[in-house]
Amino acid sequence: MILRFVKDSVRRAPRRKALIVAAVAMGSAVATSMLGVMLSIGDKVNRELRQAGSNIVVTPKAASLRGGVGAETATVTGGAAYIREADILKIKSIFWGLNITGISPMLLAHDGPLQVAGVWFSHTYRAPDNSMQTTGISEVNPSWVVRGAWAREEVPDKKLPECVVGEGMALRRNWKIGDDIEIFGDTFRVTGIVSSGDETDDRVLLPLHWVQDLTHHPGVVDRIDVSALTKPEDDFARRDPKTMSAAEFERWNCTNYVVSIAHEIEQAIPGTQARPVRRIADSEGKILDRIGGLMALITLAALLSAGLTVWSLTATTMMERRGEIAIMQAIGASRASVATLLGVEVSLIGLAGGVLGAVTGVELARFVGQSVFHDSIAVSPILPVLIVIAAVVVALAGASQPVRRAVNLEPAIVLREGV
Amino acid sequence: MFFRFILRALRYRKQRLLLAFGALAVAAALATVLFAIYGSVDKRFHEQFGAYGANIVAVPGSGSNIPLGIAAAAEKLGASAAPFLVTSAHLGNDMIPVAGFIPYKTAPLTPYWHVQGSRDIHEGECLAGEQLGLHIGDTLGAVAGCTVKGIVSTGGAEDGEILVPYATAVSLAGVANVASVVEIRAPSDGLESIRGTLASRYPSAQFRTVRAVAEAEAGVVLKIRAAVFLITLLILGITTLCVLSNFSEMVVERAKEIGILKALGAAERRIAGFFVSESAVLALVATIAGYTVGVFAAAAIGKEIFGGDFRPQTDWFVFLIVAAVMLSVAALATAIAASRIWNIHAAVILRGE
Repeated sequence: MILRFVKDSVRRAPRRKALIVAAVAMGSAVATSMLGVMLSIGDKVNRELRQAGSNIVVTPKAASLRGGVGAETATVTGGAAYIREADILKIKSIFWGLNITGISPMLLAHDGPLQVAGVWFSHTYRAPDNSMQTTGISEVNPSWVVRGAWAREEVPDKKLPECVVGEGMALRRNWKIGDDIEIFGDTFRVTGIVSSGDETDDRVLLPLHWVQDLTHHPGVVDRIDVSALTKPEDDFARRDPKTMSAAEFERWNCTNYVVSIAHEIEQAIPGTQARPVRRIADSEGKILDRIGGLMALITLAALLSAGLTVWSLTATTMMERRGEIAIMQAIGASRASVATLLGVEVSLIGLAGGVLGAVTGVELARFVGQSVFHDSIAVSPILPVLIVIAAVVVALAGASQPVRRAVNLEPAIVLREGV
Repeated sequence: MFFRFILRALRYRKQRLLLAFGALAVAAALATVLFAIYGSVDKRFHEQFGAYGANIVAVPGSGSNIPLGIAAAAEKLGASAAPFLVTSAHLGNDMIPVAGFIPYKTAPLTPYWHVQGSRDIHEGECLAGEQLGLHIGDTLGAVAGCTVKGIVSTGGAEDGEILVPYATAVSLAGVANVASVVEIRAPSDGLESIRGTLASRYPSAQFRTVRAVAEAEAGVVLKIRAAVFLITLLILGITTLCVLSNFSEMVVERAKEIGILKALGAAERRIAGFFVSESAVLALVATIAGYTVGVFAAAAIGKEIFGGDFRPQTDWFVFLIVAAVMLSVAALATAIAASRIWNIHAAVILRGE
C-alpha cells in the first residue's frame, strides 16, 4: 500500500520529484565535501608550512654557546661535545616518529675562514617499520633553491667527491658549477649553488662522512634539524610538564605538541637538548589556528545553507499537496496514516538525494583537494553515512510542519476552495 | 493599482512572503560575509605571516658590520626594520655574545620570542638567554652593569646571548652607526623590489631573502584564497537554488488570482510585471537587511578568528555586488516562474481544476 502510494506519487510528477532529489543531493554534496575539506585542511596546510624549515633543533647539551640573531650565527663556536651519528635515527622511533617528516644532521668545521658543513644530502635508511626511507637537507628545507644539483653522497671511483656551495660564498670566491675547489687539502667538485636566505648561503656543504674524516671526528654530528608535524600549542601545551599530575603528563606526552615531541627526542637521545624553533613553531601554530577557525566557520555557513535549502524545498512541496491530503482524509484516511504515507515518501526522497549527494560530495572534496593542494583529500567513510542520515532528518523536519497544518484543516473547506 | 496589488499581496500572503524574504535575506547575509572574508583573507593571512618575522636579512658581505643607515632606508621604502649589533663581553670566565637591539623596533619583527619578565628594556637593563642560567634581577658588571629584566627563549641564537639596548652595545663595541645584522620585513608584494633597491644602494652588505618564510607565505595564502573562493561559489550556488524554489512556488500558488486577472482582461506581460516588481522590491529589502546583518557578522567573525578590534566595515562595492547578485537571482527565479502565466487558462483555473 505504502509502496504503491509512493510509486504513484513519483509517476504523477516525475520531474518535480527529480528536482527535489537533485536539490537534496546538492545540499548533501556541499555538506559532505565541506566537512571533508575542513577535516583535512589542517594537515594539508601543516605540510605546506613545513616548507619553512625545521621546527625543532637538537644540540649536544654541553655544546658551547653561539651568538647571533635568530638563525644568524654572528660569532664562531668551538663545540666540545657531539651527538653520535648512530643515535640520529632514534628520533624516528619515538612515539610520534611518523610525524617526523625530515631529519637533517650537521657537523660544522672551519677551514681557515671557510665555514664547512657536513650534511646528509639524500640519506637512505631503514625506518622502524623496515621500509627504506630517504631524508636529508633538501627534505627539511624544500624552499631552498639549488642551481645545478644537490651533491651525491657517494660518487663512482675515480671521480671527484662532490659539494654544494652557498650563494654568497660562491659570489665572493667566484666559484661556478663544475669548478674544482680545495677544502682541507682535498679536491671537491661544485655540483650546485644553494640559495637559502640564512647562513647556509655563506657555507660549503659536503657529505657528512667527508667532514667527519677530514676533521677527525668520526661518527659524530653537532646539530640535528628536525621537521615535525605538530598540533598548535594551546595553554595546556605551555604548562611546565614538571607540575603536571601523572594523567595530565600522559595526555601532554601523547599529543603532538612541538614541546612534547622535543621532550621525547631528548629522552630518546641522552645528552642532547631539543628546543622548538620558536620563530617557526609559534607562527605555524598561530596560522593553523586561524585556518581551522576560518574553515569551521565557512563549513557552518555551508551546512546552514544546505540545510535551509533542503528544508524549504520539502516544505514548499508539502504545502502544495494540501488538496491531495484533504482527499485522502475525506475518503477516510486517519491523520496517522496520512503522515506515515508522506513521511515514507519524504524519507525516500531524502535517502535518494542523500546517497547521490554523499557520493558526489566525496568526489567534490577530492576535486577541491586536487585543485587547491595538488593532493587528494581522503574522506572518512563514516562521513557520507552521517550526511545521508542528516539529509533524511532535515527533509522530514521540513515536511513536518506543513503536513501537520494540512491534516488539521477541515477537508471539506480545502476541497471547496481548491487550494 | 500597482501598489495596491503589492500591498494586498503583502497582507494576504504574509507567511509565504516571509519565507521568501527569509531565504533571500539569509542568502544576502551569507554572500556579504563570504565576500568580506574572501576580500580580506589575503591581508589577514599576510598579517598572520608577520609572526614569522623578517623576510629579508641584511648581513655583512665583507668585513664585520654594515651601515646602520640600511634600517632607515628600508623604513623609508615602506618596510619595518630592526638593526642588531653583536659584540661580546666576559661573563665569569667565558666570553659571551652580547647583542644590542632597539626594543620598540624589534618587537613587531620578533613576536615569537618567549620572554619571562619584560621585553621592553631601557638603558642599564638587559635580557638574558635562557641557556645562560641567569635570573631576573641579576646584575651583570661586565655588560655595562645592567640588570636582567627578562629571560628570553627563541630556539635560536638569542638563547645564549645577553640582549642589551642598542646604545649600550655601541659603547661596549666602541663603534657607532653600524649594525651586525638588520632584519627587515617587507610587504610580500614589494619584497623583491625593496631588496633590489637596498642591494644597489648598499653594495657592502648582502641582502638575503628568507626563502623559507617567503615561499611558505605565498603558497599558503594562495591556497587558502583558492579554497575560500571555491567554497564561496558552492555556497552561493546552493543558496540560489533555495531562493529559486521559493519564488517559483509563489506563482504556482497564485494560479487562481492570475486566472481572475486574466479573465478581467489583464495582459500576461502586465501580470508578469507585477510579479517581477514584487520580487525586485522583496530582493532589495532583503539585500539591505541581509547586508546589515552580514556586515556585523563579518566583523564579529574577523574579531573571533583573527583577533583585533570589532570593526564593522561598510564597503559599497560589496553591497553593490550582493545587491546585483540578489536582484538577478530573484529576477531569474520570477522569470522562470512567470513563464507559466502564459499557460494559465482563466476558464480552467476558475472552474476549479
